[in-house]
Amino acid sequence: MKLSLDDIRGCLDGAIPSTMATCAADGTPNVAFLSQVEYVDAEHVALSFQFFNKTRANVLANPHAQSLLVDPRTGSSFRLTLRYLRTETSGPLFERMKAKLAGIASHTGMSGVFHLRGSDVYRVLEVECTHCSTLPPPPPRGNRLPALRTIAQKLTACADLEELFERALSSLGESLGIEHAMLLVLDAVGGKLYTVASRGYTASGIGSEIALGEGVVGVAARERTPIRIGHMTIEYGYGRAIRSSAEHAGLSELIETEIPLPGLPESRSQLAVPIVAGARLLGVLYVESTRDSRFDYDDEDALATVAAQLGSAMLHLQDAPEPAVGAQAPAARLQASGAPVEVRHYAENDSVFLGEDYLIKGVAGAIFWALVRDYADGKRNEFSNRELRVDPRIRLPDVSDNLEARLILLERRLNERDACVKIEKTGRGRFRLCVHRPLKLVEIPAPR
Amino acid sequence: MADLISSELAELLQGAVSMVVASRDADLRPHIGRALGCRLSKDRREVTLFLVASRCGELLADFRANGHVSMVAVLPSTHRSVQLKGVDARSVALGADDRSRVAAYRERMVVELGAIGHDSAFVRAAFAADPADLVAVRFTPALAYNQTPGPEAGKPLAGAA
Repeated sequence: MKLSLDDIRGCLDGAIPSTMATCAADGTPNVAFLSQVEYVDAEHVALSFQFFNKTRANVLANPHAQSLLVDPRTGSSFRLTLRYLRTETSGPLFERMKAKLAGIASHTGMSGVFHLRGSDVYRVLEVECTHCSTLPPPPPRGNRLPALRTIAQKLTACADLEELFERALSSLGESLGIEHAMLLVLDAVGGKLYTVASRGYTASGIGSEIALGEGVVGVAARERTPIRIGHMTIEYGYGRAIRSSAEHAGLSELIETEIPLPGLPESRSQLAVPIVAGARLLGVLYVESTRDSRFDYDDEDALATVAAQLGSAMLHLQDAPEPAVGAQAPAARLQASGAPVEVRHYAENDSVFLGEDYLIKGVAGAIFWALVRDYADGKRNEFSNRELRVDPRIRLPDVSDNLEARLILLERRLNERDACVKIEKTGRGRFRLCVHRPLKLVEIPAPR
Repeated sequence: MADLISSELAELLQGAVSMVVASRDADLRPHIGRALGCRLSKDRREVTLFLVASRCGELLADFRANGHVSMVAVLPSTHRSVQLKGVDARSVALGADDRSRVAAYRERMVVELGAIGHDSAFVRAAFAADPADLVAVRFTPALAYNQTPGPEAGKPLAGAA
């Protein structure tokens, strides 16, 4: 049987360094170790170009090359016959390799030595097994195809975004044994992602933000490419979000409006997969583990497939027409009791505080402020997504913005804070504001 | 040229290093294969590599045709790495002790790779070879380069100047 690169992808993740033979124009062969061989597709690999070395000079003059790979499970050797095609110095492949190389460098004590200058792309002309080991491969870690099918069926059955986000993360645990995961949604205008769901962390981190291009998650989003790192790396640690509100001097420096990102302090394996639908980036699905090399190529395939389905489902659920709200009798208002709670709204960044507790900012903050104002004015406590979408007070960044995701974020923040105000769904695209304490609204105008 | 390979380098080459060899054909297409250890002549002028014939058909044919050879050796625990090149590679008869040298080499690799976390069954499988399939290839290193990752990689070794 003719081998394909797909049959031996596991070798590219190996702890055993690969080697590469090239030949100079004068006929002198060269052989060198490679720090990284990246799978591009079934017919292409990319090698990291880090130094202006002989391998590099040779392939520019003579594109023929051979590489020797070792299967990290069995010890079998495979020989690839390659032809150099081109070098990429930016874009998804380059960024993916750069992030992965940082992980390899940190694992092998080569941080500061390894630096990616380019991704050299080669066509794979032939794959041969030159040494077929007798060591049986370890039993497979579960078949991921039936797991994927189960997940797909669960996601298809979801009726709204909130259920979709919950199911997506819980099914990763149930079917793929992935216990630490988060789902972030894009705020295109703000150039950042906000966490709407997480699983397996001490603090949920709902509402925490990551800028595009920051860490594994931000780079995966910006470049729209999965990034999978098998070893802990400092360079790509996603750390704490940078405070955007501190840009203005004065007021915003005094208030703490940052929700810490969830995350494992001892994260050793990370996989971030962009959620894309058509030409639109919608968010990122991120998983991690305290184990080295926890996620392999098959996991990346599985997560990419889940992300693709999430993308379609998110679009479908947020674009589904919401029922028109007919004139209806206002629902009985809950009896608010106890001492009034001050609700402060800072117009500068739409941050909202309940008493002294920071709740939320940005679009979700503007939504909350509009809701409590209508409630306090005695107008209503029943709302529909349809009305909110066109409410000028909320200033949605654009019509395609995921209003539902922001409402989920707000609802969860209120629940987590056990706030005196809650959001309760009353039907498709409709919800009720439940207020348990009298509210005293205080508007803080933006500083001039 | 006696000093191209210092006694310290000779010790490294005959130690627990992972070794890979390259040749090229008349169309300058390179071929790659693994060596299972080597031995040096007493004067350190010649290196005799041990290859597995059934895995290295193209390399052996290339050596017969043109003798161009390049080999790289790395000590996995430190990343220390050197590359040697020559133009006179040719097949020679295995010495009386060479098959046991290859077996001893494999056991050294079990220890060396074991120290960085590879289990012994894996290392033995990866370095397994039918003793009847072993061949020897000898060459005179004419050039030696430092290949340890970093800015010094690719520079000629001191003795080679």
